[in-house]
Amino acid sequence: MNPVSIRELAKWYGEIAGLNKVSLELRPGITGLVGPNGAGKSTLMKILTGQLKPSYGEALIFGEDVWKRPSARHRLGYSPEGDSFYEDMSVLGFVRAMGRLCGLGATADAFAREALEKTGALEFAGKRLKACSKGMRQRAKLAQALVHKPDILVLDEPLNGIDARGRREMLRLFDDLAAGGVTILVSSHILEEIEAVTDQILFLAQGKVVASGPLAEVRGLLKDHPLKLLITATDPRKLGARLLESGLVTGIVFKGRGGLDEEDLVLSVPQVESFYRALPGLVSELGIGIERLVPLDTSAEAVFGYLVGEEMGGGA
Amino acid sequence: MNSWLYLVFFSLRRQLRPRRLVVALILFLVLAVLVGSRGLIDPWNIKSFGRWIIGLPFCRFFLPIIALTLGTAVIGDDREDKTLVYLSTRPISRGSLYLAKLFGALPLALGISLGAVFGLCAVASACGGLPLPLSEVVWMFLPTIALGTIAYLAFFGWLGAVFRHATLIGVAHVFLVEFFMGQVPGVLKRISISFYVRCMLYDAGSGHGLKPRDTAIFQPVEGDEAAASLLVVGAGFLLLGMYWFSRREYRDLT
Repeated sequence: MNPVSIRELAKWYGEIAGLNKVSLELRPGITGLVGPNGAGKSTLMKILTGQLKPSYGEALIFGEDVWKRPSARHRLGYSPEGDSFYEDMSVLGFVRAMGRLCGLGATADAFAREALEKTGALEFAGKRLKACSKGMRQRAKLAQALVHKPDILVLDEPLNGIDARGRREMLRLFDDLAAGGVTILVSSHILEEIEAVTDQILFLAQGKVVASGPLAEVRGLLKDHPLKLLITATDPRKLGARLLESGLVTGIVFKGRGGLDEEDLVLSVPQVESFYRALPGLVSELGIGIERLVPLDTSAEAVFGYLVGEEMGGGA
Repeated sequence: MNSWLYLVFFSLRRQLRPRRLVVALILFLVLAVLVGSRGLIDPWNIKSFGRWIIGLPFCRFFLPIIALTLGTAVIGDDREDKTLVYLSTRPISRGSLYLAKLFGALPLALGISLGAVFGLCAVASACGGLPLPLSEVVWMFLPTIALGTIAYLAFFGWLGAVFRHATLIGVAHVFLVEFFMGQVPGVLKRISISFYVRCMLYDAGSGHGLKPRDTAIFQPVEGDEAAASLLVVGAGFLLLGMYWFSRREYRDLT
């Protein structure tokens, strides 16, 4: 049984669809949730954490409906996006209280300290939340989601306000948790962050899942948007002519590098796998050296741009 | 069960905000000064004290205002501070969550209202010389105030779960329904909680001549009937609040 099963999930706000028949399964590991404002990310997370009732379909946590069976939330930790707290509580007091509300009894204090240590918040555990910086508060919020050691973590923009070092620590923590079998759904508007932590990405647009899976696979599905590859070669013009002749590329742009006769090739590659298989042979045949080969648009941002463009009925 | 009991305790602690206690203290001091100064000029008896202090400003103003302050905060505070998200994502059913939060407010509401009655009776005894021992006077009013507090708290708790700006609606209700409507002739006043509170009060003090000034305007029901009505109102609004809260989606939590 998958930790999270979402079946035909729909949520209507009057005549507006927040989610439109979304079905997906989440397995242990990290899944990134990407989408523009209004795509349905928050609605999906709120339904998954039992805050909203689906208009249609169901959201199951280990087979239990999260709206109908609150006990399912024992296995769920949620870190909301908003920066709201019980301001006059200490960081430790807050995390401990949230642990007690999850059914932890006498062990709540030890569990809270452990969660604070994991998130790097133990050093300011005694500080009042209203006196904490944004980064500290973000760590406290993560700690309350972790305190009862859930099997599923739903994290809404968990890295907002955390400095670069802190981000690295958090990403390492997510990796460790995922390696320990935790299922993590993480949303972020900084797509590079999601790419850094996982290649399993879920793209939402206009309440629908427009693509899901490893980023490279999703990118490969976009046949109407050939992959852009930048190549630095010893004889770019000769290479370009041969590639066009072979039909492996559909377009070539020569891009100057500043120096005389120094050019890079920007190739439009429709069939990525065939291209990569054929390239070594071609290069060897022509006696050309390849100094650099960089995919330009496999980033989540670029893929997302294409997907949204397609969803809207146009090209990107 | 452990987490539910902890939520009751957690909610009680959250209710202990100094601002609220100061409001209660100020209102009590105003009433205490009134009781003390009037008692020094013209000594109190059960009839006058019951009618002019407990029946009028206490039951129709102090009690609803305290219950309003605490009741609307049961859900309203967490909603306003956007901390309801932390509670609604815990493994506690929505109905139980509402019940725990209301139970968390109940000891404080009862503590303030019964404490205030005790204080006013003590001031009246000290300054105006009530003709009965203090414990007897307090015991006479205690069931009325306790049931009134429960009914008002359940009502305002429900109001807080339904409306975002429940305090404003609650204040309007206190003045229009509980206070103003109680003055007008007819049976319309029976929709107010204060009607049943006063009926219980008149029943409790009937042996000391405590009764409505004009029975043509105010026709009380029997004390037992009034007590049962207050219990039904309290339990009814509690169940209604639990039902409402368990079905309600709060989209503005984060």
